[in-house]
Amino acid sequence: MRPAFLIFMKEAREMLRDKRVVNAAFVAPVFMIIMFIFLFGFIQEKVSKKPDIKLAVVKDESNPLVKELQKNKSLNLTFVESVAAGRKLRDDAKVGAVVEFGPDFTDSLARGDATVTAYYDSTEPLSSIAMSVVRGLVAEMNKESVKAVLAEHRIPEKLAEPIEFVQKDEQKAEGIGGSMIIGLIPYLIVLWAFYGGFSTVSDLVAGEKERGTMETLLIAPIKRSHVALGKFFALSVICLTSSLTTLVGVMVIGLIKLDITKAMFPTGLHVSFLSIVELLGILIPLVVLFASLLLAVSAYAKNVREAQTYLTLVSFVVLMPAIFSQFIGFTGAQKEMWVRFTPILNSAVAIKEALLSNLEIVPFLITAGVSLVPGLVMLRVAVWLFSREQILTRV
Amino acid sequence: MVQTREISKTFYDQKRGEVHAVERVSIEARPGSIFGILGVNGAGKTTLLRMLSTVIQPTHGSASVNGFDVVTDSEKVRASIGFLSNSTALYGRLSATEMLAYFGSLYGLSGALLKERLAFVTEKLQLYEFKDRLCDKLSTGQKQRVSIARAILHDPPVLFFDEPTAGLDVVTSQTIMEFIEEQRDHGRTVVFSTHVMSEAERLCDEIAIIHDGSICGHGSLQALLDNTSEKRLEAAFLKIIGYEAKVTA
Repeated sequence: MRPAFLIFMKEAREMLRDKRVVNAAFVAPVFMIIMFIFLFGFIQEKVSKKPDIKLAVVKDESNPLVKELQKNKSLNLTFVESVAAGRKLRDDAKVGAVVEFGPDFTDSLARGDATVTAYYDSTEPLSSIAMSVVRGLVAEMNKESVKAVLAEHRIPEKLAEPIEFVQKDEQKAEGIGGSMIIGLIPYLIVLWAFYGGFSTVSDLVAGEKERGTMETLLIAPIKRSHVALGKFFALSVICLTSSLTTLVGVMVIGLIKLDITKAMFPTGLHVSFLSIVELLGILIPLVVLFASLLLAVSAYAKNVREAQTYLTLVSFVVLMPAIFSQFIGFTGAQKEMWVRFTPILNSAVAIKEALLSNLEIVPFLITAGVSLVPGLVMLRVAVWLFSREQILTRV
Repeated sequence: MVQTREISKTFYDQKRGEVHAVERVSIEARPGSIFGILGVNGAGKTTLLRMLSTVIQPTHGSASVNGFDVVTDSEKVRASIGFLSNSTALYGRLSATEMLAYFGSLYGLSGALLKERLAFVTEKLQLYEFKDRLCDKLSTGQKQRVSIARAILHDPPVLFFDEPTAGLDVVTSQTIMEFIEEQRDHGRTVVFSTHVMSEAERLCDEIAIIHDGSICGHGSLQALLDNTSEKRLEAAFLKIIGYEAKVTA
């Protein structure tokens, strides 16, 4: 195995001297996570402050509901002549929704058949928020009205709300697990485990074929399997370190202690030792799968250009389950067996569970095995490709 | 010693079907001599050298290098040879010394022996001034000197040269030819492929003319000239491969 080690060392040295690899595998993951944290922090800061909700109110300026709306300090009312004029303001993002009162609103209210219409755009978040604020105020007024009637008839007001709803958040996550972006971190870890290697693999084999250095290597008195293994180990290290760089990015942000990020990590930034062990237990088999897949594709390609075309196609196959992992929580299927047996998707789900400290041993072993077995098969394919002269000597 | 017996290589090409790149070639190159393989582009010279250096396997026949079979003892064959082509094929992000040390290690050299061989090739090929420079930053001539150093670093008894001067300037070409002559004088077996007649005339003790994958003429320079009744190798070569000059009015 000494030749494989020598090749690994040489590849690692060359990769670290290649600015493209350093930027793509190490700088980009840190930059991306920092960007995400700032972006999410900015959004959360905006959302946590009560947004300034602007409403267009058609004509009626004196009815009781308008007075209620005016009392609400987070609302900013603009009176308009018609719904059309209000719509124009809404479409120009000057107001969130348009409120129109039915005819003789005040009298109708006394009779119990008043109508209020809110014109909003459900595709615009601020418009939906404006609509829900109006709906809440109307509901509150309806409730007050019911209470007044009940009081008039000496019936306890409590009967207007016979059920008291109590909500208790029992999430136990600590450290990074308690972060708002806990769903995003596993996705980025998986993503960079692939793209770290992607940045260098076309140069590693197809590039060597193209430049003629591969033939020089094949003339050396070493086994071709050692050439394949040396390159595989180098690629694996790049994939793993690139992937873990995402966590380094989070730590860097934590050390800076900016206001914008404090709210993002309410339970701190620490990761437990067990979580790290579990994370590596999931990540290493995944890296074996990615590195062997990348190596096999690059070995098969005639030149760098062909390798990049194939690798781009392969990246879509890898990306899809990784992206789906972002939404699996909405389906409630994250603990189902088919998820555990779906490569890449299972790793993203298990990494999240590891960071949340709720990964169980059986899912952990299944996830590791589902990555490792095809990874080793693919490594065998890559080694076989290195023994095929038709593949390795064509340019 | 390099010997081939009826060695052939057939490729399968999707467009052209079976391609007989080399057909039943039998040659013998002895220590202390330069064996030239002369042929036009695409004649099969590189394929023959690739088989002898075990990069590809013959589809028929057998060959041995330094007493080792190219198929069954391929690792021992590779340990016995040095290979130099016109493509310098260096690792651009390694320095000349790093690259030589890397290949020396792959050839099983280590410790004091590796240091000694590195010092020898550095001195021999005058690599001092650029030995710590990245190979990407070297001139073509400097790259070629590093390539030569790599080919002889492990002191191989057999050397293959595949059109080593193609695309090089006259000074660098001269350096390489002097180097090849020196290796012969040191008793090494040298197999040299070229399509440059003057180089073959100057260097080769024995010449095999290869055309369309087959040997169509073989012998010393004088024997080839005598057999074709020509005074220059170029004319003899053209006659042997059956080329007829087309004269237009």
